[in-house]
Amino acid sequence: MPLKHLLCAARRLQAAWQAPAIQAAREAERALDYLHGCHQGLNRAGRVATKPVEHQLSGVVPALRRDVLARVRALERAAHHARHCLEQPPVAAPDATALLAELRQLQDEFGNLEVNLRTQTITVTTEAITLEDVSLGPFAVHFSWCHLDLTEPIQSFEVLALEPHPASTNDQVTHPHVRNGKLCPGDATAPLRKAVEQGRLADAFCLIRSVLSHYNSASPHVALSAWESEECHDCGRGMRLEEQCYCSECDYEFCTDCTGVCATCDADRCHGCLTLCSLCGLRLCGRCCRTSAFSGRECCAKCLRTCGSCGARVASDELDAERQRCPLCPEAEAIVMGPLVPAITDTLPI
Amino acid sequence: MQILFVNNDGGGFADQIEIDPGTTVARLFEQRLPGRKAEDYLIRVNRQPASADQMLQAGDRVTMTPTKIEGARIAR
Repeated sequence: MPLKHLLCAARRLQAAWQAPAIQAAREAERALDYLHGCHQGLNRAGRVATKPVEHQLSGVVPALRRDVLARVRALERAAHHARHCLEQPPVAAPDATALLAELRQLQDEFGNLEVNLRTQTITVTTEAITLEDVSLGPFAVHFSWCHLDLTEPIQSFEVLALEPHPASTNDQVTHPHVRNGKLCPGDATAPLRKAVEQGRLADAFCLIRSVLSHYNSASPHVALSAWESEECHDCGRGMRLEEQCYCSECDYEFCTDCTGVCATCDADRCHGCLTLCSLCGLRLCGRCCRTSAFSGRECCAKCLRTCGSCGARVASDELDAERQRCPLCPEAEAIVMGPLVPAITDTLPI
Repeated sequence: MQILFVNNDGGGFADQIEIDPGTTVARLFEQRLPGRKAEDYLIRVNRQPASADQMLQAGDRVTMTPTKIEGARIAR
């Protein structure tokens, strides 16, 4: 990159760093002015409050004392704010020479550097990154100096996958520690803040690269072990291909923990599509589940019996053991036999 | 003699430190980051790669940056 271009960028970067320093200085100045105003107001109010006492006008004394008290409180608040402003460490903007050196170091460290004066961004590209055999491709790291925030410097950076291989469960997660183009720097947070604060851009980019090149299995957006996986439709856990079970009844994929086997036909089904036999407690898929014609209870085929009278299939505990009839059949018999007999006799000639 | 030492491990402080004349890069690493492995760090002297036996000079700028840092889900 031409030196002239880098020098121009360094000057603009310097201006970006100076802005927060100027803003902090102005805020401190305003806080001191306000404190001074509060102090003057209190002096005036104090003088006014003593006059009624001298002239024996005791009726107005309480109101004047309240005014003085309010001004004392305002002075306290103003003093607290001024102290807070002055206690902040002064922001020392790096000079253009140092920033030029940073840009040249960036070029050396990454072998590539793009400075866009129009969009006010610096971009470097990492090498292709592979973590635990998961290839994530190279990443472009953008630093936007128009959004320079010295309190939250990571907000000025954007990390974009150039050959995205996002987690199958969330395409916004292009790296275990990157989501929506934002890096969660973890242990790099403090040194990154210091580096940006002091204008050490090369260190800041190197720190980001160090986070991208490493995997913290204790705190990823998506674990690398579940990178290629689908999400279980029941518990939402990421699953590897070999852990996935398809339920043909509801047409979704489930993890092994959320899947069971039909005791009758051995078919895999999700827990929601398996029914427990109300008699023996075995799990049944929808195809193997039967219903008692008497009670509507769900049972397996082995727990159903045929009524010797009407032929209905009912739960075995609903069948009369002696007569092998379902509970409906004796009543049906009575209905058939009862009213019909007198009706027939009525019609018989005597 | 004094050098500027930037430790990007931990707090990321940049301090002027006093070292003995003849201190090498490897010796400084041992002193400042005891128990760590030099191969896990990007070490630069005056922004340039440095060898372990390079002797430091007064006014040098030395940075040590870990090459493996644990990221997170949420910024700390």
